[in-house]
Amino acid sequence: MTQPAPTPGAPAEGLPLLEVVDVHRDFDDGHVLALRGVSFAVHEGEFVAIIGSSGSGKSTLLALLGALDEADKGVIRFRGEDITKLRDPAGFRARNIGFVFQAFHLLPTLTALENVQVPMFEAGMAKRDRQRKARELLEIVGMGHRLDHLPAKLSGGERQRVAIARSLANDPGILLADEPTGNLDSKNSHQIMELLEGLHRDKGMTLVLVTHDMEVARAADRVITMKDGQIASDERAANLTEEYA
Amino acid sequence: MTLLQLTLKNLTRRPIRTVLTVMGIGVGIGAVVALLGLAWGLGESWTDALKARGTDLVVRKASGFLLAEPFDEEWIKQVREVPGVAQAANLLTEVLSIEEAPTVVVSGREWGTFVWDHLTIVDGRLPRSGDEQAVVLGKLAAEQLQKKVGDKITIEVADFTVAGIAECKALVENATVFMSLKNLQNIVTKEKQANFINIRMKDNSVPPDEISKAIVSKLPNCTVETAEDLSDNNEAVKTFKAMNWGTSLIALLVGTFGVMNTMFMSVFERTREIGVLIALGWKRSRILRMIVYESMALCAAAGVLGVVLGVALLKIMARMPIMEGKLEPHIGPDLLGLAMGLALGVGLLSGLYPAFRCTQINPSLALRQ
Repeated sequence: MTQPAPTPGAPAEGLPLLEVVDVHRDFDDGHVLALRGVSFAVHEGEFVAIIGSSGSGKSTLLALLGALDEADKGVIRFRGEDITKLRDPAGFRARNIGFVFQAFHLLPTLTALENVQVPMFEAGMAKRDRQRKARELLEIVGMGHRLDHLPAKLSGGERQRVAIARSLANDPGILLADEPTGNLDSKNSHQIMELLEGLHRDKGMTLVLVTHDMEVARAADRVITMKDGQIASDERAANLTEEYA
Repeated sequence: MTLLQLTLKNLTRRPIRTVLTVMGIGVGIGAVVALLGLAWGLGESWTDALKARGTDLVVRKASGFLLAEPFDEEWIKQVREVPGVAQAANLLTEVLSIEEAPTVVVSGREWGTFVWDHLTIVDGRLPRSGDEQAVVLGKLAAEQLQKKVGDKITIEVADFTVAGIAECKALVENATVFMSLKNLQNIVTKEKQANFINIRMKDNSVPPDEISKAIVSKLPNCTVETAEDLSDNNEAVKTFKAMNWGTSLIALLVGTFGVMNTMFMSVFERTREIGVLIALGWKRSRILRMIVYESMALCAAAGVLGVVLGVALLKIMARMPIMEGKLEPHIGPDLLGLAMGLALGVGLLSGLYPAFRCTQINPSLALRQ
């Protein structure tokens, strides 16, 4: 299997927002090869879905894109800066990355309003500004009526909405979503995808979404298929063949 | 929401564990307050007693460990010759068992000297002479011994008459039995011996240091101390303080490990949450602060509880028959401040290592838990 050239299905003009070049990552002293020479690029305003079966390496890739993990080999650039050798990866994440997780990962002792403020601590915002912005973000995701609810009092869909609001707290350059609908029923999945698509469409948010669900992936501009730690295909969503349907 | 509010919310997550930890370390801090309050109170009681009788300097034998050793009462002649010494008085102080009371301080004082002057007689009179077989009881001693003026009292093998009841400014003296030096020397068979010389200075024309040096040059076997120094340097007081500090430190060490264990459990349970915070861009220094704040908040609450417990314990102990009148526990802002400081110190110490471990969490792995 040959590796696709970088960014085959994406708009080619301008410097990529995110550029992945020949990235390798293994675990257990090299016994598990999670990523084997992955290369692609994501441009500003793109919505890219990464799809693949369990163990294909898609979540490992997402962790590397978010500077949560370090590649064994290769380069990942964000706006031209190599993020594989960051001195302050937390600061980089706080400024540039918004995460949405499958399991929501809201802090159970904090209300929706408080959870959204958590990333803002590192942005140096005043308490009043944090509250105001968190309220605005929760209004945007349709959770303005649940500000003071603890996560335990919210449905799965509502929790994910709060998590999406949290991911937008520091105006990130990119949203990385790891199976955002994985824990939701079809109705809530549909609503969450509408919300993410809206952020992409209306606000120009760059999105990289990992999923194993082709229906979810079809909402993206471009779909990268991972298999055994490598990119098996990288094509426009509109060009996907019926075999994925 | 602030970091402190977040910290407090984390502590309310497991309220029973939080309360039990606060109680555990609170009892430890309470023990520290009680033990140090007693130790400090002991030293102060001695100082107060000396100051109340107008003693500026005290001469005693340099050797001697828990109790001052007796010396020849003739030493006082050389002391009186030292420039700057206005008055000097021989004293023999013993702790004796009297009738039903197991421990009573008995003070034999040289008749006709200034150390009798401050006793305020509230009933009866002072002995008429140093030879009269009579004693004066401090007010609390009279209550403890259940004696009144005119009663007979047997001390060792001799019978005395209670000539008067005295009220003293110092608590220790209120619980003391006073008699002439000669009488006490006779009944404890220490004839011609004393174990303290109390000195009243003339004025400030000769500094206490010079008086001390002059006395020591004449009497090389003795030591001269101010009222404060005497209690600070007293081996019994020092030993008592050292034992109480030792016990307090053990209590604090146990508390430190207890809080550390709680913090480790708390951090271990929240590995994924801490991974989330790191993923959301929290610097490791902020994570460290959050965990240390939690630990310190636990110990601050324990400090308040400990201060309340310790003060209550001291008040109860001060009313116990074995201590009443002999030792007024020290309860002051310095002790309470020290207790709170120690509590926060325990919080800081016990939170640092779990917090450091938190900062080593790999967010990518933590999120998969």
